[in-house]
Amino acid sequence: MKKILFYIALIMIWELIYRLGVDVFKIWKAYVFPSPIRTLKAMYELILDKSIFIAIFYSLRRLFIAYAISSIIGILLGFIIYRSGNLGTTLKSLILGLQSLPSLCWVPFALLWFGLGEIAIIFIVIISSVFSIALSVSEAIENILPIYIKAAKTMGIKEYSLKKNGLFRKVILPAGLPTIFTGLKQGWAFAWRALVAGEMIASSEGLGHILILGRDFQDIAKVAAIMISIIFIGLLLDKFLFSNIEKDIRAKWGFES
Amino acid sequence: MLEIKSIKKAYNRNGEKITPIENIDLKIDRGEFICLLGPSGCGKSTLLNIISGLDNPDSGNIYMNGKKIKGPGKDRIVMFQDSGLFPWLTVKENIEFGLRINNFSDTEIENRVNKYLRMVHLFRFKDSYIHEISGGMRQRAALARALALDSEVLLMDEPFSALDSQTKTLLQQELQKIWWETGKTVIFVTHNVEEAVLLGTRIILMGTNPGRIKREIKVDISIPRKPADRNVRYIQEKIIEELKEEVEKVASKEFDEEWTIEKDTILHSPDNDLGANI
Repeated sequence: MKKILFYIALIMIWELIYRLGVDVFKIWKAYVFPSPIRTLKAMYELILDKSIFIAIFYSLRRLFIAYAISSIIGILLGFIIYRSGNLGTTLKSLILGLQSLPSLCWVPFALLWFGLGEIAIIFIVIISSVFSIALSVSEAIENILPIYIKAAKTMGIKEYSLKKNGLFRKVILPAGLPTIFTGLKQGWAFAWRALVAGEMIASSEGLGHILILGRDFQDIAKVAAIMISIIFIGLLLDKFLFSNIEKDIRAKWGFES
Repeated sequence: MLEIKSIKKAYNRNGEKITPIENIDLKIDRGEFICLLGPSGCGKSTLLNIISGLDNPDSGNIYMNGKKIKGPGKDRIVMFQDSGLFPWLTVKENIEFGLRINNFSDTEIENRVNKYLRMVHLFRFKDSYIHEISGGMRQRAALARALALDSEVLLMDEPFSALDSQTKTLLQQELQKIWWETGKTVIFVTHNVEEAVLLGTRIILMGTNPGRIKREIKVDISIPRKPADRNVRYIQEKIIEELKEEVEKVASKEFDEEWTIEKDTILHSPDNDLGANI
């Protein structure tokens, strides 16, 4: 209840600022600053001609494909770092460096290699998220309690196998799951941002694309409407994908009572 | 069946040479319950780790049934002081872990897990997670996990040291029973004299820095043994006398250099013995 009142108040303040800025003091032009009502109208139009649903479909499809690939590669990379001993430490520092590169920097590469299209966007999303996941797997491995490894070894586990009953899948991944999960969440956040940014520059459909369209047509209300949709979808996905799983993990491990 | 030959282990810490194991030779027969007894830091855990394969000696070898030991394995399972149970698995899943990774059949797993769950009296808690059960229950689960693979040798590293005395007594009684029924060879590390005499058929008294075997004491008392048993008490007293020297050595390192039991334990005042004991 308090939340809803808060948001209503926020919207009213927004409308007030708009009225003052555009109508009364004439600081901004109408096409530069959006009003709540016009934004709502723009949203309604987008829903009416279904363009928003098409955009969401394309965006999410790319996102899920890219994120899934990113997770698998990330976990494998983490395993390679673990298995490579000293070489692994060097690899890790390389990955740390690559991770600090903003996702937009990869766009020129992506366009030159793959041209405008699905694959370019998917590449950008993958390259933006894979390193966080790999690093969290590596951190999970380093911080695992040694007693788990000792206990598993005395029960005859195969230390260096990627197979189902090997140390990595039976002990290291489950033991490191809380840490790895944090990495997966961070990777998701990077992926989501890379997706919208990449679509703004290099795509002809998707949420980022219609955002740019709004700018091209100088329709600031449309831009605001899409920004709000992006926030909304981002929050929804976060809640459904990660919050529930995170609660389960914490309950199982005993972090929640 | 276990031959420990000329094991040595030493290392440097802060420029000081520490020798947890100076030179140890030991033969262990099948079915014995060996207690490695000594004060903290005397190398008994190091020796256990070397026998289990989790640690390597600087020189010397261990032979089991004639074959050299090269690393950890399911023929020498370890039960740890802090259980080492996996928090992402239930009690039942923890116990069957060893069976699963060794590809036992589902029916065999079911049979064994139920058998050992009942043996340690945890059947009602088989679907609980580790953080939901008490310390004593965790050690019981850890014991069941160690027993499930039916190893010839069971290595136990101070498994009951962290428990309260009631739970400890209960588990000691249960362990005697389980050892008798399964006929395993057990190597049990403890710093507690009462525990060692209560459980062991042979006690290896170990000295500290350098770590070595001071004495071997055979305990022929029939089992089950109760803590209040007169014979048990007698042997305990003799060992405590022996250990006095070792305890003083450790204390002088940790407390101060002239610490002796007579002078410096609490409740002592010079008026009590009129200077006779010093």
